[in-house]
Amino acid sequence: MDIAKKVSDNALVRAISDQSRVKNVGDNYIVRNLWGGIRSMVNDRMTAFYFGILVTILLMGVFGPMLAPYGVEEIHFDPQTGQMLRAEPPSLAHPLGTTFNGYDVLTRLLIGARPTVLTGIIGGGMILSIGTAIGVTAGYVGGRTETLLMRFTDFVYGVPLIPFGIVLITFLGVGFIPSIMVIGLILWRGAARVIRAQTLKVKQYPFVQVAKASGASTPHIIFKHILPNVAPMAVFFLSLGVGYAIMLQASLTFLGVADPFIPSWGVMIRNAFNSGYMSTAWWWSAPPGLLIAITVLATFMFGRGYEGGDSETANNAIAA
Amino acid sequence: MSEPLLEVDDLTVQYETDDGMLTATSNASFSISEGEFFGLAGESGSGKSTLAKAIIGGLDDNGQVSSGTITYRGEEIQDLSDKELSQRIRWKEISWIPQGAMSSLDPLQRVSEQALEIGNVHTDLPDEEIRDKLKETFDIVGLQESRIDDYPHQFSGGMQQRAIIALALFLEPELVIADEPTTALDVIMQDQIFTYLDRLKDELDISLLLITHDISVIFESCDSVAIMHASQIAERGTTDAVHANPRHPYAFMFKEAFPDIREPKRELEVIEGHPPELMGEVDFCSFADRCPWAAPECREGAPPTESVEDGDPSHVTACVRKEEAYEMYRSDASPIDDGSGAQSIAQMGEVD
Amino acid sequence: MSANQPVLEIKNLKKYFEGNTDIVDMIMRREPSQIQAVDGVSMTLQENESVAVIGESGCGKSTLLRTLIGLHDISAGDIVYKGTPVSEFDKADWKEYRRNVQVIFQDPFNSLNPKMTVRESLAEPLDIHGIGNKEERVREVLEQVELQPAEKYLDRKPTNLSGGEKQRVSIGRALILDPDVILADEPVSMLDVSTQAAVLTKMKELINDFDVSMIYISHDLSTVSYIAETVKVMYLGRFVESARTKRLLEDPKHPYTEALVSAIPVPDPTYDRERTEMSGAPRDPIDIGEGCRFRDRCPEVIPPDDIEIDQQAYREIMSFREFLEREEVGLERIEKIVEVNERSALVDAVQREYFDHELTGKNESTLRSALTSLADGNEDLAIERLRERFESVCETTPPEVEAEPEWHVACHHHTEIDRTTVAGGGGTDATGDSGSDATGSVAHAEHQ
Ligand code: SF4
Ligand code: SF4
Repeated sequence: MDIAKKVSDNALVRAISDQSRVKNVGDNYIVRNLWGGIRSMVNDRMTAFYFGILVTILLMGVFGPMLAPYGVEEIHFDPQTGQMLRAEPPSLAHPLGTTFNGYDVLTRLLIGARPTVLTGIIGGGMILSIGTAIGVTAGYVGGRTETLLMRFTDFVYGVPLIPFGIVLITFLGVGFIPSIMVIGLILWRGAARVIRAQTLKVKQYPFVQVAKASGASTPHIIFKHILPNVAPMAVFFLSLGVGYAIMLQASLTFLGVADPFIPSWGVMIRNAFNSGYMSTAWWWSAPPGLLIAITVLATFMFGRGYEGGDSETANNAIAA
Repeated sequence: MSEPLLEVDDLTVQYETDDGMLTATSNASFSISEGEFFGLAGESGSGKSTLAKAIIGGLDDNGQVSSGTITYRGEEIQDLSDKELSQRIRWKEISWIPQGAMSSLDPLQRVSEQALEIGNVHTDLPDEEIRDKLKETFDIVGLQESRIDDYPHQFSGGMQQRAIIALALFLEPELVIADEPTTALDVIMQDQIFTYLDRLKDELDISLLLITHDISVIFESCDSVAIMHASQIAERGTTDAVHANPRHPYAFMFKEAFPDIREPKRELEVIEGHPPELMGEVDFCSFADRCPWAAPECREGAPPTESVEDGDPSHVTACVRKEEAYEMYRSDASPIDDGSGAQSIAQMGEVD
Repeated sequence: MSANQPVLEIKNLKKYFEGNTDIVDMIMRREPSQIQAVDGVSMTLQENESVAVIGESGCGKSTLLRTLIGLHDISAGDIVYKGTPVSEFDKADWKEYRRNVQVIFQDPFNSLNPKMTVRESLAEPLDIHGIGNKEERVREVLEQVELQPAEKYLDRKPTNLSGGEKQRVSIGRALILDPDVILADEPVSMLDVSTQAAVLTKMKELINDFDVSMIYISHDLSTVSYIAETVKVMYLGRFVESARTKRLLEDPKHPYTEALVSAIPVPDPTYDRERTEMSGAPRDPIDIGEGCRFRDRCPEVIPPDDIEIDQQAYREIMSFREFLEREEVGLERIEKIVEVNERSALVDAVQREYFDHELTGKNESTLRSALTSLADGNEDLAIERLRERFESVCETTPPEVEAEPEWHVACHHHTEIDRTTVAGGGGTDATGDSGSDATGSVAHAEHQ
């Protein structure tokens, strides 16, 4: 992992500096802040470490299926006895052992990376974008708009996740993408509230008032003053959202709201649990569990680093 | 003068930072006697708040007393543990009004509850006795005894301030340390608070260490003053002596920077630059980069703290040019340009 | 623009906010309460003039400033900019106004966007108004506010600037559009003294060099003389006194100004300053109605001329009635302490709590009978009893009079009718020094 991290770092740093050399793009205030933020974070050793982990997981999502030694539905048999390898402990042929159904765990792990990463990105992204859009609009525009948007947020707070999921899948059908959408469509509510509060605070700052007083338009103020200053908070919610999405997607699978045949890591744990081999076949349940934990932790810590960095940090994806 | 109540001797306080040891106060000495109001003045970054925190053992985790002693009633307290300080010193002997406290009481607690909380930490007194003490103190600061059970919002603004003073005083400390008690308050509120502090002096014979950037209130309310610049005490003495006969360039420039309502057109002194952050040992005058009279010897060693010899035995200053600087300043003489790096000639105030 | 046309004319400007209304108010169809933050303020600002507006926090000065820069709507009255009233502004006029009226806020730490460099902060107003040649202009302004060399500062972010430097950037940003008017809200109050003077002098210099007019808002009278020729003292939404700075500092006429001046510490241990007698803080300006706004704190509140009473004792009676009217007398609490269930004990307890000064004769008996009504639970009667004997002329709004040329005061001590009252009533002497002009001047009533 260390080498992977180094490589990715260097590639990234190069990419960043190339980026900023391109005149118009790199000089843009928003772009500069975004890259500046990431660069300063990469300079921080701990954040760089988590960043490395995230990149590795991302790479797993992209290249995992190609690296998988076996087919995902390939059932393995003992060449001597011809018996199905049911929950076999790790061996040379199957470094992480096999599952109850005789699948190779490593294969499933590598292939499962992609849906997991997708869940994180789409789920987290939805939480972030819906939450920020609603939070900032409500906070900045105020008045009736705010009341309306916040009532709506309160209403969403009242919606229980699981029943909503069940209702939604009756429309969209059981599936991988619908299960992520359930998450995204519900969980932005926390982000919206906090980002609205943050916006209200930033809005009171003299520099916003000065801009307003010298005739700046609302979009100008939102993009130049509000977003950059709520960005750390937004990124923090992105990281929380990614973690939530991955874990919730898994539990939705438990409930049958999501498609159990797309072997995301969450689904793997579910299968292990259902088979009753959860504790005996640790090689089956522990790796996906660990990977989920690491992903969530890395995103979370990375978000913290983004938030905690000094003024150099943070513009964000939405702004750019 | 009576026995000193608190003696700070040659105190150096440092903070551990990524770049090394940051020296916040360097070889600072002063003493406060019983019943004395002592003012510690300086800009932000002078180390005055650090000094106060060191006295009650409230330094941040990365801060430490590197050398020197703090003696309270003959006992060295700089090495006491947090627990010992809490049980024996804090509040009962030395109480503390932190910065910004004047504008806030915990709104969810009755004043008496807040007092009990403090009392239980610092004394073994039964609750009833703590309440009695609070009642007595309420009386002294001019609040009805019966109001100790009120919530803060039931008091008007001015009464809240008095309640806060009462909370600092009810365990009958000998010394109160007030860190910028009135900063950010309106003049009228400030004046009211000092009215009460003054009254305490008459009625309770209490000592006060007043830390502020505002030398006007020190000159008005304190008996003695120490003026600090970037970790060093530049000048110290009775307020009368320091006011009448300041010797250290920072002391008189700082003093002349303050407006005086009686002379609305007097030109205000400007001190260029800001106090430096000092790493490691401070073996030079920390004002040298800003001082118009800086000479090479100012950087060759920390200027010794010497008596000014003007009839006030407590009046001392730490400036190698203490003999001539103020006279030069007053006679409008240009500072001697000896190439030692004095940045610029400050505007000369017309002192009349 | 004609030679004598003021840059800015504020005409009886009012800014009210609606207070919180709860569900009960809504059902009862009650009018929402009005927070009268700015309540009838008039002034003119000539070209190149700088005027200070002084008052405690909560007196409405910041609301005034925000209304002037268009961050609040106007409730009543008008602002006239170079002859055009704001109420008739079209979009282009607004743009023009916003370009020419700039603001500097108090807090240097939040005045600049932490994510923007000095260059970006300074260029922003130019961007907004589509002015080219930005780089050149930015450098020029940096030089003017003495942040040199420009290269050293251009790419810094606010975290790498000291408080004084930040405030200079804020000043630069206010100047960069070459405005006519600068509104400054306590621009130096958060700076260290060593830089305060430098920033003040710089500001003064710049407003002279740039032909800018300024309204300078502050709670601190001690530095106004360095920046403004004229001072207006504001209390709860109204100007109570305005005069030339130097003269006002030497001889404040309005009791509130007196208190403000006398509360300023003097940096001299040999000088024995009298501390202010005034207590408390300004009340909330919610539905305050008629009368002098300062009467609940005024040490010189005027007793009726037919009674003989000590000033401080009178102050206590007036404050007590004020408490009663605002339903702030803690009768239940006192009842609890008294324990003995006896009316006279309760009356004594109330008197002990609210009155330090001795009363005699009819004053004493009126108070006692009022307190007795109160103890009986009849607050209205108590109020009525007190009002009957002790009603003050200060309960009518004092008109603003020109006590001396260029010196306006709104206090009954300075109105014609009251001079006789005061002479007869005793207890105050504030008018003694105002000179004979006061009598002759005619009230120009700002509030009817
Ligand atoms: S003359 Fe020298 S020792 Fe004295 S204050 Fe200036 S720099 Fe320090
Ligand atoms: S009108 Fe009355 S209450 Fe108001 S300031 Fe004058 S004397 Fe005081």
